[in-house]
Amino acid sequence: MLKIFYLVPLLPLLGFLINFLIGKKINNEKISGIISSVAVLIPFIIGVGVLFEILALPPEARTIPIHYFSWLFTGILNVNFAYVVDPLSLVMLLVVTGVGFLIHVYSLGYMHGDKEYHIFFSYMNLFIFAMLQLVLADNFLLIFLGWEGVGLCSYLLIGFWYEKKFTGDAAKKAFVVNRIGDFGFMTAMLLIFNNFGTLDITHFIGKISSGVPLNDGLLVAIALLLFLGATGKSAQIPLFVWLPDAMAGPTPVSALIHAATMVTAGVYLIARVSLLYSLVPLVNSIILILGIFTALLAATMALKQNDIKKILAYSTISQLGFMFIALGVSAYHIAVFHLMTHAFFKALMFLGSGSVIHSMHEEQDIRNMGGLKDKLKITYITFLIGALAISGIPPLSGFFSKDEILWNTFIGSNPVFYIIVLFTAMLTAFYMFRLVALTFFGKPRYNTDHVHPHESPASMTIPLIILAVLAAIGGFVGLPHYTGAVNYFEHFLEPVFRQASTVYSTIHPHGEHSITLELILVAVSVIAAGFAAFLSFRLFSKKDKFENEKGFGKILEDKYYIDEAYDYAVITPIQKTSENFLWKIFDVKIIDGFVNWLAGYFVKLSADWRKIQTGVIQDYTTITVAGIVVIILYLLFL
Amino acid sequence: MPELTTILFYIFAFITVGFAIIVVSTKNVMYSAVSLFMSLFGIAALFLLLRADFLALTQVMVYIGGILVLLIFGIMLTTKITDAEIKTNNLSYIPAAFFTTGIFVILIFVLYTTKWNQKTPIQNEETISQIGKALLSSYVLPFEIASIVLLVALVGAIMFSRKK
Amino acid sequence: MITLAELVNAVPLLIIAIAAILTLLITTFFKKSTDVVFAVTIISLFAAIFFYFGDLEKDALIFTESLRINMVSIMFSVIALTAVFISVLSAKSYIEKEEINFGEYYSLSLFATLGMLVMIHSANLIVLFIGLELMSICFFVLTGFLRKRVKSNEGALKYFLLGAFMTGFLLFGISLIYGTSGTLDFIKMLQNQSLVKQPLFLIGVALFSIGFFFKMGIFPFHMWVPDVYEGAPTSVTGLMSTAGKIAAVGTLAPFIVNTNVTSLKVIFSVLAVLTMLFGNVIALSQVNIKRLLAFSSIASAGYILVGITAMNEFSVKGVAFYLFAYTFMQLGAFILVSVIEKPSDSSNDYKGVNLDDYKGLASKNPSLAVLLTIFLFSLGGIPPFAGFWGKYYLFYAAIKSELVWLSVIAILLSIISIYYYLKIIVYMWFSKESGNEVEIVVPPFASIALYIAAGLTILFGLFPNLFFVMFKTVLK
Repeated sequence: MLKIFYLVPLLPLLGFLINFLIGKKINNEKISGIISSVAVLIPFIIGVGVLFEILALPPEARTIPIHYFSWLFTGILNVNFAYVVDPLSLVMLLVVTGVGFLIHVYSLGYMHGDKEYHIFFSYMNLFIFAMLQLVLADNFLLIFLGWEGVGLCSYLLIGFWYEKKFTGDAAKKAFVVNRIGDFGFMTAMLLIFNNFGTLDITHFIGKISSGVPLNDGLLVAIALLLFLGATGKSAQIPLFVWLPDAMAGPTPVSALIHAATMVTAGVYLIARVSLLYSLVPLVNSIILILGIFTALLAATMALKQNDIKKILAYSTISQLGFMFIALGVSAYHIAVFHLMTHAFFKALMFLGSGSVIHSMHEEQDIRNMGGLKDKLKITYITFLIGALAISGIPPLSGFFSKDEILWNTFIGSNPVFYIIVLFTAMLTAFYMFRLVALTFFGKPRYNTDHVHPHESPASMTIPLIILAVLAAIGGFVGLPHYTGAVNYFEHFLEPVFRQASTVYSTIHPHGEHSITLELILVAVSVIAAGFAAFLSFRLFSKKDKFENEKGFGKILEDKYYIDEAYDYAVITPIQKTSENFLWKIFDVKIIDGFVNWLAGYFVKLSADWRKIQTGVIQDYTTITVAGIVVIILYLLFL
Repeated sequence: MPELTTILFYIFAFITVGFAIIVVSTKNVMYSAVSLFMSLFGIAALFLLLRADFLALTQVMVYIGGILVLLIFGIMLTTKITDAEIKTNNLSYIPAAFFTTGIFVILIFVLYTTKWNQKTPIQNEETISQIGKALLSSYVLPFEIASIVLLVALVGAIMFSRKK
Repeated sequence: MITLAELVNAVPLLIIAIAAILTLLITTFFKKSTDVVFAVTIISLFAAIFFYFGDLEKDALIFTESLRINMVSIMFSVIALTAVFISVLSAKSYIEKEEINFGEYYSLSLFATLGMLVMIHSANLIVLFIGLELMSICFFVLTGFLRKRVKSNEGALKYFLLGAFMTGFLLFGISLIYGTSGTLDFIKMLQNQSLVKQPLFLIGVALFSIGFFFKMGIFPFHMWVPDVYEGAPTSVTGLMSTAGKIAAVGTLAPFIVNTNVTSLKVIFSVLAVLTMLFGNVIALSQVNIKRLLAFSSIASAGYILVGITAMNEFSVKGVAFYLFAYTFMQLGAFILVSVIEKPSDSSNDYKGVNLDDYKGLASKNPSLAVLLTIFLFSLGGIPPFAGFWGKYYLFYAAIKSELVWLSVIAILLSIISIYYYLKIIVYMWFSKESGNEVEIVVPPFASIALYIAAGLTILFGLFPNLFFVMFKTVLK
C-alpha cells in the first residue's frame, strides 16, 4: 500500500478538479457526489492497508519517510515534497478520510437540490486534500500550505450560501481571526529557519533532541508562536470567537471542518512537535491554563444557547479545550485519543443536528422543537449515543478519553485544576442533555400544521449509524491501565512520543499512583456526569415555556459579551485610527500622494519616450547603428 | 614602387566603392542598376586578386549573369519606371553620415591595430575542387540546410504573390 | 560518412524536417487538406519532443562536428518545441477566422522550428548562421501572412529590411571572430584564453551578440518589435515572441557565459537595465494589447539578459527556466488575444485588440478572464505562478555573480510592469462592459492550448523544481 501512497493526496485533488472544472457539464448530482466520495474512500482504504503494513513492523521502524521530489530549490532554502507516515499521521489520516468519507456520503442527501452541488463537493475534496497535506507533511512549509488550504476551504464553505449576508460576514470573521493565528505560525517558521537552517520537522526535532536547556528563550518563543497559530485554528482563547459564527455554513461543513478535522489541526501540530513542547514546561503551563479556561468558558456559554448548532459549536470549543489540557500535561497520546473519539461523536451530533434541521425546514432554535424522538427515530437514537459519549458515560468512547484527561490533570497538575475540569465535564453533560431533552422530548413546540418532521433519507442515516457505532465502541482501543487490559492506542503512538515523554518524566518524576485512587476518581466523575445529565433531563424534558434570561443567565446567553468586548477594545479603535489617521492622512495624503505622483511620473515619461518609436525604418536603423558605435567604442577605449 | 597587385587592388576597390555610391545616390533606377553591375564586377575582381577563383566566378555568374539581368529586365518591362524619381523626404542624412563615418573610422583603427592571424600565402592553385569536396564532406549539413533556406524563400515569394 | 548513430541522435530534427517537407507536398497536391496538415504538424512536434527525452545524458557531436546534442541544447530545443506546439495548436482556429487558412502556415512554422533546432544544436558558426536564416526567413513570411492587411505587410517589410541589415552585422561579427581565432568551432574558439583579451575578437563577439539581441528585442535593437508584433497575425506574434526568443537565447547564452569577460558584462548589464526600463515604461502608455505585450516582451528580454550577464553556472539554467515559464504565460496571453480578436473587413483596422475591449470581460466570459489573470499575474512575477520562479532564478544568478545592484534595479523595474498588468486585470474584473459586443466563442483547440498553458503555469509555479528534475539536472 505504501507504493501507491501517492494516491492518498492525489485522488481528492483529482476529485476537486473534476467537479470544479467539469462539474457543471456533468450536471448530475449523483455522479458528482459519487466521484467526490470515492475520492475520499480510496485514500481511507489505502490508509487501512498502510496501518496493517505498519503494524507488521517493529515499533521502532514505524516511522516511514516518503520522499517524492525536491520541491523548491532556492539556493538557501531547500524544501522536499516529502511525507512522513508514522502512527500519529496515520491516525490523523484515518480520521480525516474515514469521518470525511461518511460526511461526504451524508452530504449526498443533505445537499440534494442545491444549485451549486458540484462546487460544494469540489470544495469538500479540496479541503480533504489540504488537510492531508497538513497531517502528512514532513516540513513546516508544506504543513503551512495545508494549514492555509484548509483555512481557505473553511472560508469558502462557510460562505457557501453567500446569498445570506450573515454567512459572508462569518466567513470574513473566520478569515481575519485565523490571520492572527497564521501570523504566529509564520513567525515561528521564520525563527526556526533562521536559527536551525531547516524547515524539515525531522531535522528540526533532531537538532533540539540533545543539549538544549529547558525553557530556552528561543524555543519558548517558537513554542508560543506555534501555540498562537494553534489557538487560531483550534478556536482557543483568545481566538475562539470565529467558530460559533462559522456555523452559518452548511451542516456537513460544520461536522467535517468545524468539529472533526480542521479545528483539531492545532492539537495535531503541537503533538507533532511534542519534543519541543516537552522542553518548555513554561509554555505547557500556559497551554494548560488556557485550555482549562477555554473548556470552562465555552461550556458555560453552551448552557444558555438556543441554536442547536451554536450549542454544538461551543461544545466543540470546550472539548478542544480538553485536548489542550491533555497537551498541557504532556499526555500527548491522550490528546490524540480524545481528538479521535471527539471526531466520532461530535461529527455524529453535528450530522444528527443537520438531520433535525433538515426535517424541521431549516429551523435551528431548540425552543421551537420538542418531541421529535418518535418522528426521527434513527436520528434520536444515534444522537443520544453521541450525547452519552460526550458526557462521559461508560462504556462509550468519550468516557475513556475524557477520564484519562481528568486522571492526567490530577496527577500532572494540582487538585484545583482537577476540580475545575471535573466541573466542566459536569457542565458538558448538563448542556448536552438540555439539548437532547428540548429537541427530542416533551411536546412539539413547532407549528404542527405546517411542519411535518420526517426521517432523513438513507444516505444521511447510514453515516449516522456508522458514526454512532464508532462513538459507542471507539474507546475500546485505548482501555485504561486499571482495567488490566492492553492500551493498544497508547502502544501504537508510543514511538512517536517516546522522546517527549522521556524528557517529561525526567522533569516530573512522579511515583506510582494507586489504582484505588484512580478508580475512586473514575467513579466520582461518572457519578458527577450522570447526575448532571439526569438533573438537566429532569429540568428540561417537560419544559415548554421560555422566559427571557435575566442576571447571570443573560450574561451566559450573550456569551459574556466577549464579541462586544472585542468590538469595543480592538475593532472600534482600529477602525477609528484607520479611518481618521491611517486613511485620511497617512493613506490619502502620503501613500496615495506618493504613489499617484510616481505613477503619473512614469506615465508621463512613457508618453515622452514612446515618441522614439516613430515607425520610420530609417530612424530605427540610425538608432541601431548608434548603439553599435557606442558599444564598439566602449570595447576599444575603456 | 608598389607591387602590381596593390595597384590593381586600389583600382578595383575604387570601382567597387565609387559605383556603390552612385547606386544609392542617383535618383534614376536604371542608372542605379547599371552602377550596381559595375560595383559587383569590382567585387568579383577583388575576389580574383585574393585567389578565390570560385567566388569570383560565382559572383559573375549569379549576381551579374543572373540577378542583375533579371533586375534590368524587370525595369525594362515595367513601363514608366525607367524615369521614375525616387521620392522620400526622410533620409536622415546627418545622423546617418555621422554614425556610418563613426563605424568606418573605428573599424579602420581596429584593422590597423590588430595583430592578425596570418596564414602562409596560398599557392596559385584552383579552389573549385577543394570547395566542392568541403561542401559535400565537412560542410554537408549547412549545404543541405541552405537548400531548405532557398526552398523556404521560394515558398515565401509564392505566398506573397499569389492571387487568392 | 554519416553513420547510423548520427542519424539516431538527430531523430527529432529529421522528424521536423521531413514533416515540414511533407506538409508542403500535401498542401501542393491536395486541395482543402489543411486539417491533415494540421494533424501532421501536431503529431510531428509531439513526436520530436518525445524523442528528445530518449537519452538525456548523451553528449554527441554529429554530422562532421556540425551539431552538438547535449543536455543544454536538448533543454532549449524541448522548450522551443513546446512553444511551437502550443502556438500551432491554437493557431488553427485563428487562421480560419482570419481566412488565411493555408497549409503553408504550418509548413513555414515547421521550417522555422527546424531552423531553431539547427541553431540551438549548432557546433560551429556556419551552421548557426544557416539555422538563423532559415528561422528568420520563415518569420518574415509568416509576419506578412495577413496579406490583405496593411499593417501585416508593413511589419513584414520592416522586419525583413532590419533583419537583413542586422544579419550584416552578425556576419561581420562572425568573420571577425574567424579572423582572430582562426576557427569556427565554439569550443575550440574559447580554448585560447589570450584571445578574449584581443579587442577585435571582443568586437566580433559583441557584433555577434548584437545579431542575437536584435532577435531577442534588446534595447536599442528592439525597434522592430512593436511594429512587427502588432502587424503580424496574432498566432505568429505568439510564436515569434516565445519560440524565436528561445532559439536566440538558447544559442547565445551557452556560448557567451563561457567567455566571462568583464567588459562584455558591463555592456550587457547596461543594455539589460536600459531594456527593462524602456520596455516597461513605454508599455505604460499603450492602448493596444498587442503593442503592450510587445513592450512587455522587450522588458522580459531585459530580465533574461540580467541572467545571461551573470555568466555563471546558474545563468543557463535560470534562463532556461525563465523561458520555459515565459512560454506558457506569454503564449497564453497571446492566444487569448487571438481568441478575443475579431476579423475586420477593412484592410487597415484590427478589432478587439484595444485594452478597452477587455472591459467587463469577467462578466462576459469568466473563465477567459480567470485564465488571462493567471497569465498576467505570472508575467508580473507574482507567486505562486511559474513567472515568479523564472525571475527568481534569473536574479539569483545575478546575485551569485555579485551583481546585487543589477538585481535590485531589475526588481524595481519589474514593479512598474505590475502597474500595466493590473490595469488589464482591473479592466476585466471591475469595469463596466464597453457594450454591444457579441459573445466570445472559444474554439476547442485554442481552449485546449489555453488550459495547457495555464495548467503548466500553475504546476511549475507550485513545483518549480520539477523542471530541473525533468532535465535531470540540478541547480547547484
